[in-house]
Amino acid sequence: MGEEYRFWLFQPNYTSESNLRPFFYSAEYTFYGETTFDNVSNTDDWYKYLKGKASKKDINDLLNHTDPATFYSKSDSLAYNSFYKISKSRPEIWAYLKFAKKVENMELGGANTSWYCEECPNLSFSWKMADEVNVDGLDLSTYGNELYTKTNDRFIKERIAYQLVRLTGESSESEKIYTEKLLPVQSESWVKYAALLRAASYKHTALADYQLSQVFDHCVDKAYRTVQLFENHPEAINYTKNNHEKAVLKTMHLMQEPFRVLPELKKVNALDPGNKHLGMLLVREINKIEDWLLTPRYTEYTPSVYKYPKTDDEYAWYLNRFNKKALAVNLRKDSVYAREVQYFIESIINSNTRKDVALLHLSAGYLAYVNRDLINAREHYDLVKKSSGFNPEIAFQLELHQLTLSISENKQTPPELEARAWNIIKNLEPDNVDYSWNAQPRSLRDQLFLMLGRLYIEKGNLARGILTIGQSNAPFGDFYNSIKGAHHLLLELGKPADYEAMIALIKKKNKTNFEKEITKNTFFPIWGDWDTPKEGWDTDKILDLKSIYYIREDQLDSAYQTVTRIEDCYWNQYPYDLFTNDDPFLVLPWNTHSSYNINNKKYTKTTFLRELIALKKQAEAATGNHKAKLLYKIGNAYFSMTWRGKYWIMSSTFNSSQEVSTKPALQSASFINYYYKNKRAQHYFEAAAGYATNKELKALSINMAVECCLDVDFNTNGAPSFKKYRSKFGKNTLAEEIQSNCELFHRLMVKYYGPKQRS
Amino acid sequence: MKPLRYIFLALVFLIIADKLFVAFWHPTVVIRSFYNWSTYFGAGYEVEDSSAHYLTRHRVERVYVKLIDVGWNPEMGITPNSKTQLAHSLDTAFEYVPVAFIENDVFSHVDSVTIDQLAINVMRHLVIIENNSRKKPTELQIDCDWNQTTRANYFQFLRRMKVLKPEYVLSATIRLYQAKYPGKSGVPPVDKGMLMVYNISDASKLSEKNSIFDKDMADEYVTSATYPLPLDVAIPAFSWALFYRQNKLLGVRNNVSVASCDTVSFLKRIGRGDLFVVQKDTNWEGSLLRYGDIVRPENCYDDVLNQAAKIGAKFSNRDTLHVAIFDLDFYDLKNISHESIDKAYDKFR
Repeated sequence: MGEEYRFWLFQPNYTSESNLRPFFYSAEYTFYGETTFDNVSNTDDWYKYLKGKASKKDINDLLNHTDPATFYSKSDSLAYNSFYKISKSRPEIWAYLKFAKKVENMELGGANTSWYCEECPNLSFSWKMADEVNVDGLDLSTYGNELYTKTNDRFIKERIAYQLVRLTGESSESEKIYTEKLLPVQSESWVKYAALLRAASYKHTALADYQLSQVFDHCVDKAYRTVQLFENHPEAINYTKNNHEKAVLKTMHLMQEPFRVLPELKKVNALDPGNKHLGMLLVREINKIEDWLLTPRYTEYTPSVYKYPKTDDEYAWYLNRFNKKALAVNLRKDSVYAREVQYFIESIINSNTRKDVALLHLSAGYLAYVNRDLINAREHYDLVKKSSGFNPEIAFQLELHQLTLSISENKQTPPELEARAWNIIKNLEPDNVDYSWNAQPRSLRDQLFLMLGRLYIEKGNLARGILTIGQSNAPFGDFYNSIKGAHHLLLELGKPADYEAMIALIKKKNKTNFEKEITKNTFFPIWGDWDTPKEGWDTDKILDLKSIYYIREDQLDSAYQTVTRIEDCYWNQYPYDLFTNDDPFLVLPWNTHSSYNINNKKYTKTTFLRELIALKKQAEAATGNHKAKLLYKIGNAYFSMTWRGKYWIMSSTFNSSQEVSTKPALQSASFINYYYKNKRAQHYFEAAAGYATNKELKALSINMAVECCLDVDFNTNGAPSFKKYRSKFGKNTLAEEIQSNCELFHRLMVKYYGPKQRS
Repeated sequence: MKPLRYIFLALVFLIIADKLFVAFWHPTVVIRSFYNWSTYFGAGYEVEDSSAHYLTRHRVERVYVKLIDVGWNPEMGITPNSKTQLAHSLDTAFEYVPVAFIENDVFSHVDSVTIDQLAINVMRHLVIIENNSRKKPTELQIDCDWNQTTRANYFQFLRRMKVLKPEYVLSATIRLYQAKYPGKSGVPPVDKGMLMVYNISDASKLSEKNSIFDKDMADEYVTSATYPLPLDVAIPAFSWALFYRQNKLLGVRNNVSVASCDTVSFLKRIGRGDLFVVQKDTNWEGSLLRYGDIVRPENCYDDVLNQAAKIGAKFSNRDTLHVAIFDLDFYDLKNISHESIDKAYDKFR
């Protein structure tokens, strides 16, 4: 689902006519989006023909939004339609409309009815099918042909010819009618080109490509369909009559192309310097570059487009590309490409051939910014407002890019910049934005929060960065089989001061609007995590995460100081309530996640830490078997805090059996040794075995030390470790017996650590 | 010498007879097929992800996919009851035949104009499969249980369908009684028939044993006369439960096995057959049942499937035919052994 995480900031919607929105760049489809647009050209043609006697709205309603059944039912709603009223008083128009609506009904099976099917192909059907579907007693074809012959009005005649083409579907018959009745007409009307689409679409030839390009150039509402049908036959160029037509052919091809197209873009510009689609094609290129360069920069994913193998060949290509070395090479190449596109845009600006210079400066500036050329970016941004084609949409986009540039230019992020960020963000709230133009799964607001958060982190302000990212719903990394959340990032990168800075910001009294926004209680959670914060950030949660940091660092006093700042009731909540009845100081080797609570004790993180710290102090002062007995308990406590232990929640926010097979690449070696390889616990068990002169205590300690040595994949048994400890502590057959005798183990545990034997 | 000569002659005879047997007897070629009657089909839909595996395992080559179900009601007129969602790209391992099911009632409410319109509408919804399958289908199928009242309109509809897309083989389903009495029922103007060896008796009658397939009843339809159209054969592998209140059919619920009725607390088995009485008012996954209602689960699993195949094979009237199992629904298929499925196909060889 590349589109789910593709990073983008450059909005493509304001660069072109709305009908081209299906061609906005997307990782999943070459183009996407809705495809139904009102046919404005035809409405305008009618409006002119009627000399303004009917309103454009009424013309549009009757032609495009009145289904045939309603038209024929003489519904009251039409009584107020000025176009309908005029038509009834003009026999030629009325006869035509009756015909047109019958054809529409035949073709669509009645749009807006349960039979409507957008994906269903239109049928080419002969008179035989239409002979009883008639108008005024005549079958449609006869009626239409008679009407065509009788009518002298060129405007109506052209439309009747179009309906006759439509009646024959997409076939050689439709091409014949088009060639006979419409091709000779000197007209640039919408109907002529709409008919040409019917005549061209069944052929799959170079000529068809050329004809489709003509339709593309003249009928905005057919653009999507023509590009869908376009097959890019090289010979199509032979049919073109001028450079503009050549450029249109290339343009259609470029809209289908998901990869680099700069050489072709240059050709389009050379052929047709004022090409109306060039701006949109350039933005497609910028969105591609954003994906290739910024998706890896702001998320932990490779560019979304690389992740979309659809065929076996693509999959092989994907596997080859999807490694760090290949990615680094690609990033360099993509960066060079971004520069080339920027230079091309600058050359267009210098050629003085285009009216959309504001957009071009914005584009060139943004590409410079993406390439971290901040000076060049600033130069271009400064020229946007003064350039032709500057409009409110570009002004908004400029504001956004100037903000990110300013943040990048400053070492810190002064309040003034955050105020500017807030001004942009408040305009991006879902209630304030019409997202219908762009059906992308992530909003600009999500992207902006993610980018700002990353910029904060780059500058060393982790607290603000994490809180800002926490407001984004854009995925930025994987966490085992799930999506990474902001609190995972905090655990990965946070130091004690960062946690305190976050708490200070949350508790701050006079927050700025931006601060209110990033600290508000709508943290976007990740899925499937044991410890998903249900209601967003709170200081207890942050303190809890901070204590995990200390435990991982084996700073138990600091961890304890941290958890004592948390309200006791916090530990009664899920998921901590799951651990209340576990005794972390006694571990059952056969099932290390078992609560094994022979003393019926209850624990929270606070009481656990308090007891562990006390035990360590006692152990320091103790000697001989007593020391061994204490060290054994301490070893158990450390074991309990690991991935295999029952109290893993001290060291992590979740626990999964898949952790072992997907070892986290970002984890430090010391954490892996502690958490997955039980080294700290092993140290205490070995120490206990060393101090114990009592055979049974020694056996228990060796047994657990062996347990610590087991491979995390459980692929090894304890035999090699027993051998190791035999040479270290002497032969202890009891230890080996315990391993296979749980009754004996339990008896010893009760004897030394049971209710009457508390240390 | 004599015995040796006889042995030699006997050997020569055996060799010639064997050659003749091989030369004149060809086993029927059975193209294994399945029906998909659910409202979604193809990879990406949860259940269907495993269906390709299942079909491949049984060497199925063709899938009949119901794409539209058309009905009539006084308010809406002739309208689709359901349309099947197809996966974007269908598995190229199989050939697909789009099927339209049309309720017989529809043809009581058409005139010549609406027949043409209906033909266009139905055809558009069938050929949509061309967008989803790289292999262009070669056949289209219409399923309708026509009767004498609706026959003229239905046959006119079929002729229109053929005019619209003459390049396709057009097939229509044929019920057993239509196959036995072609003179009375009429022979549809299509290229091929698909004999349905199920839904034999009147489901509305509480006294029926199994309305999906009853061997004794099916036997009565077997005839020595050859049906005038080339026939493929469809055999049942599905289940449903029929609900009756005061001897009147109340409703049907798909995917109910007899065994599952035995485990439902509010049903109590009565009599010798598979009849159950409802013990308390309950809503059974959408079907509101009342105390005293009768439930008759009907299954076509291993034995019944093979009995149906045996009857179906008697109607085989050509060397190569498609045998289609109805339908690709894993609730029922998991109750049928793989061996039974293979055996059912093999009955036609």
